[in-house]
Amino acid sequence: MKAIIPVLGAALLTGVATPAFAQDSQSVDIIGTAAAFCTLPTSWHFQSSTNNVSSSQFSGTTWSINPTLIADNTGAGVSSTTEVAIRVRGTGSCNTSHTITLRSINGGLANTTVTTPVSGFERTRRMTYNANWTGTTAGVIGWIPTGPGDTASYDYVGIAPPGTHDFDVRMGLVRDPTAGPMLAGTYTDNLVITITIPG
Amino acid sequence: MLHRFPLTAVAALLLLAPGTALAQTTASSEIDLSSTVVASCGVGAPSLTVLDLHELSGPDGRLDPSKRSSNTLASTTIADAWCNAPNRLTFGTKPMTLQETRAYAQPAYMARDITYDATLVGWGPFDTTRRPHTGDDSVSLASSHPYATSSSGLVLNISKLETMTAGKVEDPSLMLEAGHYKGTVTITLTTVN
Repeated sequence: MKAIIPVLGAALLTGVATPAFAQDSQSVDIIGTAAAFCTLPTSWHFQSSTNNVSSSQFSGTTWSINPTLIADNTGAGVSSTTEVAIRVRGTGSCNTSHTITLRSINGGLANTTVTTPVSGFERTRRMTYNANWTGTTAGVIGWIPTGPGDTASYDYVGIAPPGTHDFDVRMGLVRDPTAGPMLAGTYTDNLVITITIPG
Repeated sequence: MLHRFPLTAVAALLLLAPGTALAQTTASSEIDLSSTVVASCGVGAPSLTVLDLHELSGPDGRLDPSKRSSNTLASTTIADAWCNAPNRLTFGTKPMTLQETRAYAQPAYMARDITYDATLVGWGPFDTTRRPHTGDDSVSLASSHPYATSSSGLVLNISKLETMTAGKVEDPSLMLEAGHYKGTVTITLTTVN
């Protein structure tokens, strides 16, 4: 009988072991990306203008400015504080921070048929440009380029992206006094609007 | 006659002798053997721990229509899952959320959260589907019996994505904010009393 006691003792010790509540777990991640993107309007339409500019002057991507608003029939540059401006609008989109950059190829309205200044004549008129998402005051506002290829930018960094939204470009002719008569010819500028996404 | 009696007596003695020996030497006792199999559960590693749905947005910046499909977009399998006692399976799901922090509040026209259908197949007779919105969407399935998955294992299927507002309301018109999105599905097996 004594030989049995240790065996029973061992059995009792095993019997009082406390059952554990076990748990096991696994996780799965579901991932994806939304690529950063921005688009500019693929077409523009007349939105508004000052009294002396009509909607018919804008077609496609060209604003044909009435020559009488630039120079009179003697060739003298028109000087006036009355604004000559047009606003065009299109739909763009952006889902992230971005930068809007304007570039004026001619640095204003310029006669590019002559490559060197002709003494005694004016061959440029200053322009003022705005570019911004409609309804916001942030953007390139009141920029006046001073030379060919000038650029101006606005960073929409840390600002809520617009989603799909109207985008405005406003172009104004600055009719300040000229030092001499305007050189005859065609006056043009080419405004390039670019949106870039920071790398 | 005399000659035959002793022979009988001898025979009787031989028969009695074994009976006498048993009564004197037999003892009995009992030994109880006791042990315990601890109640436990096991969940094997998923065949894929990351389900990559790749680019989520379509050409217009909204959720790509193909991601809204009720067809399975991605799946993973847990080959072995079991509990040897009454148990509870907890199926926890969190929506896919934008991982980058932005300096501005979420615009009303953009989405930073995406819900989806997470369907678990193979635990019990019924499939279980959760569609997480708030990040605390889980369900518990209690079973009073031990259970182990069949040879086809436990399968998790993902489908039917949709963008959500800041208020966690599904809205397909929203544009996704650029960035990386991540949601999580957690499968937990626990033994219960």
